[in-house]
Amino acid sequence: MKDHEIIDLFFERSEQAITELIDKYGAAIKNVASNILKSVQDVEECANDTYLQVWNRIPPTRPKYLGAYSCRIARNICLNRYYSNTAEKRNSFYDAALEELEETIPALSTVESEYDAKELARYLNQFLTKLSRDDRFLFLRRYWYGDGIRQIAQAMGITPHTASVRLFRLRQKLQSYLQSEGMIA
Amino acid sequence: MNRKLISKALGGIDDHFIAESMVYREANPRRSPERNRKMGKYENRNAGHSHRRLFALVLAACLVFSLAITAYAANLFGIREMFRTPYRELPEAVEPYIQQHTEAAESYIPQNTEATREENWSARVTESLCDGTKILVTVTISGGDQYIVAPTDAMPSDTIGLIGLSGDQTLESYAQSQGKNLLLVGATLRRSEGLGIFVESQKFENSSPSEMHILVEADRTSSDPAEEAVCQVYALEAGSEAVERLELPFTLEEAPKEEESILVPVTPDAIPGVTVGEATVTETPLGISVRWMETITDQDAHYDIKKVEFDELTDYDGGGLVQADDGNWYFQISMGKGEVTDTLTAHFYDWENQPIGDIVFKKK
Repeated sequence: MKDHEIIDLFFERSEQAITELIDKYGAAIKNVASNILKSVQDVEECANDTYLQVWNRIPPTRPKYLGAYSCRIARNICLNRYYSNTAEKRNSFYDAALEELEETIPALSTVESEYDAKELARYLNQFLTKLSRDDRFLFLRRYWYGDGIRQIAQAMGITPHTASVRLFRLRQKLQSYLQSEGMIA
Repeated sequence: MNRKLISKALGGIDDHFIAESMVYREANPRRSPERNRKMGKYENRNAGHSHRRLFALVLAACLVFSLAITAYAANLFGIREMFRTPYRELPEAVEPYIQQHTEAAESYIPQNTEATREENWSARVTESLCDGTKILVTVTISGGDQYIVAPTDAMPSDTIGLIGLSGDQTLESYAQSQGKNLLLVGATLRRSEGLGIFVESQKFENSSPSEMHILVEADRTSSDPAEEAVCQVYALEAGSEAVERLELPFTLEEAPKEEESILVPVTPDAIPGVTVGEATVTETPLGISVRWMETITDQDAHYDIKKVEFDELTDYDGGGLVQADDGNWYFQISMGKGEVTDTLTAHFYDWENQPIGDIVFKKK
């Protein structure tokens, strides 16, 4: 079923909308959740919370990309749980990915703020437009979806070493870009 | 930059980019090096002349035949082989404890149809390996004459690289060209109380377009011996909404504990925010596992703990902090390499990778 047809079902308040959403994007939502959270139970609960939130938000919202919209909601729910649940803070895939970026983006100031996060988001979007589709894919699968290096390598038909090297170069590129824009020193 | 703010900034990435990278798209055939090695025989190149085509067909037939023999002889899709990556391998010592399951394959028979076994897909558990912290199971799913079999997260528009074939054809069109339907399959262990499974993953490998092997890897918290288990195989025919499920009961036999010792923390509250209980160190053929109970005394301080490392152990499978069936929180790692004698030293680190402190455990 096409996205706009599923969204129409949400607007009709048909419960079939949830079924279709799960069929089409359930796996992607759970993938996002399981990369951030380790407990199977937490992943299930976050997926269910996501479906409920999508149900509550559509209508009135009519997202352009239903999959991305749902995954973003899932990511936010999972991150809230991630930061409030000590259990998830150790050895998760997502933590490993963030650690890589943390080395690339040094502290902007002694007191970092929400404003800094928004500014960085703006520069990240600009940076992504300058990448090839493959590089963008690699960057997003690692740092937004939190996929493991091996999983990405397998998906792209490259070795984990190649994937790591490409990611390293992308981080260097990001660092240079942020420096050239004056975002970091 | 603060990790939480980086995470927030990533959250501001445009939906367009998220949607673009949502699925592993056609330009990125999901063909691992392992798949290349195992499935290279299924290449489908168009030869320019008919005799070359004939030669290619004969060669392909020979290669398929030889691959089948090789796969049988070398058990390319057993637990040991499916588990292996450039970064990890099962220890030799587990060999006697890998159980071979010889039960006949179960066929999925839809209700209210006259379908026969031959017309449907079938599955069987082939091998299993288990200790107190880990369960590994391989299952083989055969699509028979009717189905091309792909992983459950595949899309019909993905390329045939996903099932180890070369070329740009989509799974859907390939299935059509073979006069078959596309079947998306996966497997999971049913979460019975005794197994205490808290996290599970799957690895997929095709041995042919119509046969899929799945390694199910589960981490468990239960200290009860695992005996009876059920592997549930689920399948969805592309274009259909009905999920088909097949339950495969099998018996697990735990690899024996070679040694188990209790170590007592010298200073249980040396780390702010937590009081650590006695550590149980267990050695099985799979490796060394460590487990201790944690009582949270200060939630905020406890949040600051990011990871724990040991002097005595390397290469362990990070279980981290998990909530067990009894409702308590336990720190747990498994499959560690090394040697724990009278002392175990755990180093705790914060989110800046700075040491918070150490807890030394001494043998009781």
